[in-house]
Amino acid sequence: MHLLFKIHIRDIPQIVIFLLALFFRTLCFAQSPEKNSRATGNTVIKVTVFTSSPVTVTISSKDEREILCYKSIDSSGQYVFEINRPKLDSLELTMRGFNIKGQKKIIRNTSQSINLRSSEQKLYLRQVVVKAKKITVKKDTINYAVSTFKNKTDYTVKDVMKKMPGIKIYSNGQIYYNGELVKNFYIENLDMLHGNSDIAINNIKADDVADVQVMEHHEPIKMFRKRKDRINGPAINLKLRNSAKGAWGANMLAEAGGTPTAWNGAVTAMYFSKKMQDISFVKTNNTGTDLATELGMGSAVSSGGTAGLRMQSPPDIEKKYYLMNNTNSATANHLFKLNKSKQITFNLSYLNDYQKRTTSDYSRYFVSQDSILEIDESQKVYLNTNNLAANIEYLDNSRKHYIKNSTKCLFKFSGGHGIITQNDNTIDQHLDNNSYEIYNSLYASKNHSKGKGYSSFSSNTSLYSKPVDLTIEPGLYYKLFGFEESCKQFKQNVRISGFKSDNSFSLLTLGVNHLKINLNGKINLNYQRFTSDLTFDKIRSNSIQSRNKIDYWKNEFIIQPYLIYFRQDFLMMLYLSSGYEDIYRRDGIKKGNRRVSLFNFQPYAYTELTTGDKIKISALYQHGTKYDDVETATSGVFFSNYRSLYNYGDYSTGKKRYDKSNLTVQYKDVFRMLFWSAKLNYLHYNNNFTGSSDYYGTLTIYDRKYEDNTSSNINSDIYISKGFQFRNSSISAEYQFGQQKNRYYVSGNRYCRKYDYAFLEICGSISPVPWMDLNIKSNTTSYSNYVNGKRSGKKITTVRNEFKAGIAFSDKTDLNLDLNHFYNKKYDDNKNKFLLSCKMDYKIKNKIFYFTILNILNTKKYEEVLYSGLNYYRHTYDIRSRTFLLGIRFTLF
Amino acid sequence: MMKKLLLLITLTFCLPHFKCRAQIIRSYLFDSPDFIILHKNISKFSTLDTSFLNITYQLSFVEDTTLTDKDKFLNDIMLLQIGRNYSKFFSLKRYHNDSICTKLLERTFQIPLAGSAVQGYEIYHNIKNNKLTVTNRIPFSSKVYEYEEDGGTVKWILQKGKDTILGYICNKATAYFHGRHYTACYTMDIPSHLGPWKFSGLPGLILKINDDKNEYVFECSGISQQPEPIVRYDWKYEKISKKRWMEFEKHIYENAGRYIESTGERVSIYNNGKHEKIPLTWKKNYNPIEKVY
Repeated sequence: MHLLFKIHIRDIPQIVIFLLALFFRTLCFAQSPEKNSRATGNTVIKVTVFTSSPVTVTISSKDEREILCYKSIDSSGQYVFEINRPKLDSLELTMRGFNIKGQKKIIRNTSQSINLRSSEQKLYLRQVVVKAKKITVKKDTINYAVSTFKNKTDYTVKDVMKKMPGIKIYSNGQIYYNGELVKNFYIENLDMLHGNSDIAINNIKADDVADVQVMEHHEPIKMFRKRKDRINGPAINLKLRNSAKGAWGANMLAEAGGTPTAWNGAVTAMYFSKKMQDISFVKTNNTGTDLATELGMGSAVSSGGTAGLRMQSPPDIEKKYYLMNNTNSATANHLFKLNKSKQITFNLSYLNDYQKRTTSDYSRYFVSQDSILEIDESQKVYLNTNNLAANIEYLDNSRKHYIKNSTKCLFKFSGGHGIITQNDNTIDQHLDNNSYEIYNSLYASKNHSKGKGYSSFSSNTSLYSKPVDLTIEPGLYYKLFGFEESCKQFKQNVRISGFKSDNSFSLLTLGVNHLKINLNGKINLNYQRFTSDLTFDKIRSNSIQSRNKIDYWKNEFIIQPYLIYFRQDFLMMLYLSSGYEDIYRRDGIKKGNRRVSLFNFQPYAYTELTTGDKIKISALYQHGTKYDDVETATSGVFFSNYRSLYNYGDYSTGKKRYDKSNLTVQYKDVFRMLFWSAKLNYLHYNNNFTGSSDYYGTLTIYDRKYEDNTSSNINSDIYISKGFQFRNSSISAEYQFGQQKNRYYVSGNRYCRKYDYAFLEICGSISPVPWMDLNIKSNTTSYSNYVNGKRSGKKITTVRNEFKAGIAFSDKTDLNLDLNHFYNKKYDDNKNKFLLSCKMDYKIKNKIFYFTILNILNTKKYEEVLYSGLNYYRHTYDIRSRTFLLGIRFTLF
Repeated sequence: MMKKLLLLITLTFCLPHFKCRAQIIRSYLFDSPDFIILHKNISKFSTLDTSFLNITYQLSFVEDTTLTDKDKFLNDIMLLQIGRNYSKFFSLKRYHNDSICTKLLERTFQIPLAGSAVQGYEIYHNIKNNKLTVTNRIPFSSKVYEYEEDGGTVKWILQKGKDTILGYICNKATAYFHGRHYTACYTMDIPSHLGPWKFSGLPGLILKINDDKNEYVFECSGISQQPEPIVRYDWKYEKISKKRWMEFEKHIYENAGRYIESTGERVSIYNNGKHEKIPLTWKKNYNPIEKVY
């Protein structure tokens, strides 16, 4: 408000002055007509307002660029405004109110009287509906408000995270943010699960989570947090609601049904507070829920390591349809926060998994230009494993130093039995595979006392043993190993054990303004032992080829100078690792020793540029050399399964020289919920060997030819994701295309193979009405093969569509439908396949009753077709028959 | 026999009149010391006015200035109801918690707490008299204190420059008010001189206002013209002067542990598996919106 008060005293008779003073009224902004003020030389505008509703009268410069004075008025009367802006020719007088028609007048900048009369008209404002912001940003932390993405049919936080734009969760448990892998996962800023996020997101209820935070450039080590010379990727933190903290919570799920007998049960308990966290559960099911992936123990049971049962890899469909299992698991994960910087975590997991897999497989192998090998097999495989994993970790993470030590043990007791019927012959396979691995990782870092530079040391040590016994009946290929009479069985045993220690330490750190020069040293020690033996009817073969006894040392001594140049939005790193690699191989069977000492130069360059807070461009180049591990350093043969034999023959050190480059562009606009990234990757190998295969009946013999060989892989990945306020919807698309080139020998002839592929996936989610939630995913994969420059076979295209609908009939009743559609014109019988399931739940107080039907259409089989350019494979999997489940979930406390 | 029977019958009919009072003892358990404002029954109230405009504000504020990480910002959702004669400014989260607790307490003793960031004050503005009545709830207590002061005392300096908030073109103004320097964005398209908290006196509705340190930021997140009753609850209010209230509030924060002890409420913290009382020496950082009064 402006109040101008000027008096000019004129030379006139005092009586006149007195009379004038009596009748002079002060007109002032924010004064009622009853108050007097003196104003001389200013523009005085007397506004007489006639109104029955409150109004606001303002006087401003043209187009309301500058408000000069104003008044809120709630009754009719005369109001005086005084303006002291002689340079303005005209003024704008406006009157506004909620229940009157707004008025605007352009007036001259001269003293005057004006009448303003209001006429009734209600003011309707552009409604802004109160909505919590779905995504907000504070510095480099992006906050997704869970309640704004959650629908009535969502239960776990994973159900909701799948709809968050920019976030993608893969079936192997990996989470990606805007095309980048999320390596660190926290709950309330504490790392209890060490990256095993599935345990959290599969079990924590969406209602208990307030926000999912993505920290884009997350530095887990506090003493490095203000440094600009570090490459940091995204991390995710779950912020819980207050109601989920400070008290133990437990819930139970029990489902049972048929046919055949089916069950699914779980008891889960959790606790979260500033000083302690716990997630523990016991689960059991035979309805296809893969508990191994959830525990971070890999996906399902594998058939041994180097040697194992011949079985098909799992199909690319949801596990509930094909995984015939009987799985029991238990895990306890506990974190104690000792003080502000120190914490200790314990993780203990046990898995007992029994699986049955029934497949029919047709394989067609290219043997030569005029010969192919066709194998028709039907397989029944039974696998059993007991895995026990324990981890203890100590962390001291302060601004001055960082110490992290974690010790892990993994014990696996596995076995399996497979029956293969091949052209009326039955082959029986038995597998025993008990292994252990003990691993310790230590990383320590400390700031120098003068505040410049730091010292660091890391040591990763592991000790492992992986013995495998594979027994095959009948004793195939006895003639190859010097037996004249047929045998009932042959047994391949393989023992791999080893010790590895990778150590790194800083030697020098120098910094000048925006340039840092560091020097690290590395000592990597690796010892492996490979022994194998082959017996026929328990008699060891005399053939020297049937045995292996290799001791293999691979040690590296590396100096790693690196330069880092950084500015506010720019970072460049150049690592120049140079070292000496010593490989010593001792053959205890053929009595030969070989030592190879090599100089190794492995440069790595990385650069990153950010423009504002929306665009990031990064590029990297890396060159390196990899040498054989012990499995490819053998001189004798060994069976990897009943019809695959590895025979590397005369040993020569296998070497792979690689060049890897990548260009990535990332864009994000959090306000518009738009994320996209584009990557271009190129990988080039220069090897000193070429893979080779040969055939002896149905036996494939894998070998190597030592010669110069190049292979390459170029691919691009484009990802885009957009969220909308409208109907809580989001859409994402991913397009990958690439080309691989390599060379291979088959039956002594060399073939050059090129493989072009493309993958397109589009996902969308929308709530068209408040009680319905739709999710659609459609992807298509197509690839073509070329052999020696000519197209081999036709293009193979597979289309998959996934449709999920959640319908909330009322506050208590939900229905979830899940439909999968697959199309491939190479399928034998029916080009289209459908898998359909549904789940209905009914809530009463804190209990939820479930009724589930898996595979409603009772689809019996699922097919997959693969073509590598030379070989063709068709696999048919048995699908779980229609299964009904009735269940209940309730809160225990 | 007859007399004895009569006595028995009489006694039987008398028994219901001897009421038993069961005392409910509440205990509060936290993982770290904090203030919580308890729920209150909101089933009884008197209606002052009907709003013709309801503005929702996101409040972001700093309670503990010693914290350096992003967790120092606390959030609340506030509602400004504007009627012809009265306006009311209060915490929407507080209202929802009171509403839920009022219903839940009819059948259970398990009730949710609103969270320590939720504001405990309500500001009633008598538009005609330009008087503010501010009610304040205090932690771990059912008492409500009330003081009065004049409204419209903010001295604004209109600034050049415009901004756009929620699609509304806004002008800017600055003011020094009770110890903080503020910048306000107001829109002439909404002809109300009111704003969040005690701010008023601009020729348009204030959509955003923040102090120069961003320790208190009110930003409009919703506008609705749905008529809603502006109510005042039938609680017992203890009248106090503003000066006395500010001193009392400061005293509570600086002697937080002792204050909690004085309320008689059972408040403990969970420390390494054990329940411990909040130490008497505990102090809570005090950063009020009004530094000078």
